[in-house]
Amino acid sequence: MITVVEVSSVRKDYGSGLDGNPFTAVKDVSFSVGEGEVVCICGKTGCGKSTLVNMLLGLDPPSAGSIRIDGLSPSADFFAMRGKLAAVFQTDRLLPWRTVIDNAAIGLEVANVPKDERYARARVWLSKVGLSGWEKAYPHQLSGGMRQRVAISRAFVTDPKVILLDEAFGHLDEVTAHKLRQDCMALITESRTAAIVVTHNITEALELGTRVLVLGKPARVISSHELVELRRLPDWAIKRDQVRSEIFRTIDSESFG
Amino acid sequence: MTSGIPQRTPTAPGAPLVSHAVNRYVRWLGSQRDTLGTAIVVIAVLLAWQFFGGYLPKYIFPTIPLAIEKFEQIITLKGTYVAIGQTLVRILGGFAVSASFGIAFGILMAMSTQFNFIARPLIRLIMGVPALTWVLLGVIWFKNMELRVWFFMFIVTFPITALNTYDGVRAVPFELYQMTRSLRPTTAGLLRFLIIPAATPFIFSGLRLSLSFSGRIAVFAEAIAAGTGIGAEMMLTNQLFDVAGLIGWTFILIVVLSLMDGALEVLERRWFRWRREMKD
Repeated sequence: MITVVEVSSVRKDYGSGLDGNPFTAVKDVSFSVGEGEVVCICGKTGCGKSTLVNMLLGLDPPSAGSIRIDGLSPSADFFAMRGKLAAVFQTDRLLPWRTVIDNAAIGLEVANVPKDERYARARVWLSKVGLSGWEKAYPHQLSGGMRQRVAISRAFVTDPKVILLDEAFGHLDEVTAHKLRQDCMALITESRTAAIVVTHNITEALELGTRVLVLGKPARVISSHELVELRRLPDWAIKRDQVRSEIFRTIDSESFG
Repeated sequence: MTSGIPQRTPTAPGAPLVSHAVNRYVRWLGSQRDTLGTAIVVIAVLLAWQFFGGYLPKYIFPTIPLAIEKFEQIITLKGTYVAIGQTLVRILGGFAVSASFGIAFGILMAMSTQFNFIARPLIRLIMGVPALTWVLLGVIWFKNMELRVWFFMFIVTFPITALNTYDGVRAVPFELYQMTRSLRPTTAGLLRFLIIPAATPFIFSGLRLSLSFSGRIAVFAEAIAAGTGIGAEMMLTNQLFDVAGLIGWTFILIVVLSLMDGALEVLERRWFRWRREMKD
């Protein structure tokens, strides 16, 4: 399997936190993600997941260690990484003054792709997420689930090497979230994109991931769970519950540790 | 024989329709409250005007028919349209220069801490100086009449646009900023895709305010520092003790400014269709 994401001993220190004292948000995180792999990063609220996401996106450079995505550093090679890494955030983050198709195609517009081509590509992805016919609508005319579908098509339209889902289904109702998770996973599998799913929802992590990494606080990997082989077992449902309990215990013990 | 139970009057077949029509009428009246209020104020002012006009000398307080007669005289003069044209060119020219500079200045203020460090006290200083001081300084500093008017309009209106733009850029939601940055645009791209469209509602309200100021200031500057335009004509009526003429020119100015504001409102409605639909 070709490694697409390589995170080595990443650390992030801040000069001053809420209390004015220096603090470490990410202590020591290392992991890699291969092509077509879905790695779920799980942890309690405030454990440093958002900081890790910002570093993966290249919006915040690490204090120590290195992140390589398709051989490039997301922060140091900021513009060279254009289109290689896409993100779906907790809220849709659509630009309200842009129509659905203009929102979906914005990544291509940033990359100066000609209008006809970017519209054609955006239409393909909008159709894949079930939004054909809604191209000229504005975000406020869509439901929450539909808006998140536009956000998903916006992420896939640039044909990225890595897709980052940051609590992407966290604000939706359970039924919509389940449907959207399934559709999103089908697109990830179809496009063979490496995916990093950041979530605090253990059930979601077990449903989506080929591997689940559990973060402690400050962020460091405190346990890792391979799920590919387990999923093939006839008693996967039982095994899944065991892994869930194990993850829960790990996070819980970390809270008091 | 009738029972002791009170008989209910049978409802006429058309009754629900009638009550629906009444409700609609009441709702319509409610929606017309602003118009009604304006109409009452205008009628009251006209009545008061006519009342005082009947008692005071005509050269101090002309009656409505006299003011209308004077207005008719003014609008038949060719020179009136020359004066309107001169004022319009000044207002639009000064507004365009001040708006472009103000928007750029506001964006720079919001995006550069170092620039903001210098710019904010500078704007505070400019806004703190009385308008009359700027007019007098303009008269002393510039020999050219047009430059005087433009300088005065610029110095008074650009801080309004700059501060509104600054507030607009600062109000861009962080989530949208983070999303757009993750697409890796250049600084120009970030401005084009996010900052300017997101700040445009703020910029527009600044521009409307600034345009309204521009009109008033241009006329003020024309009256004091230039010899042409609506302001100069108003100054002339003052020197001739022609109150009816002053009212006529004021009415022309109100029409000109209202038309300009209306044009900007049409543009605003067109550009912010998405925002209006959101409210609906």
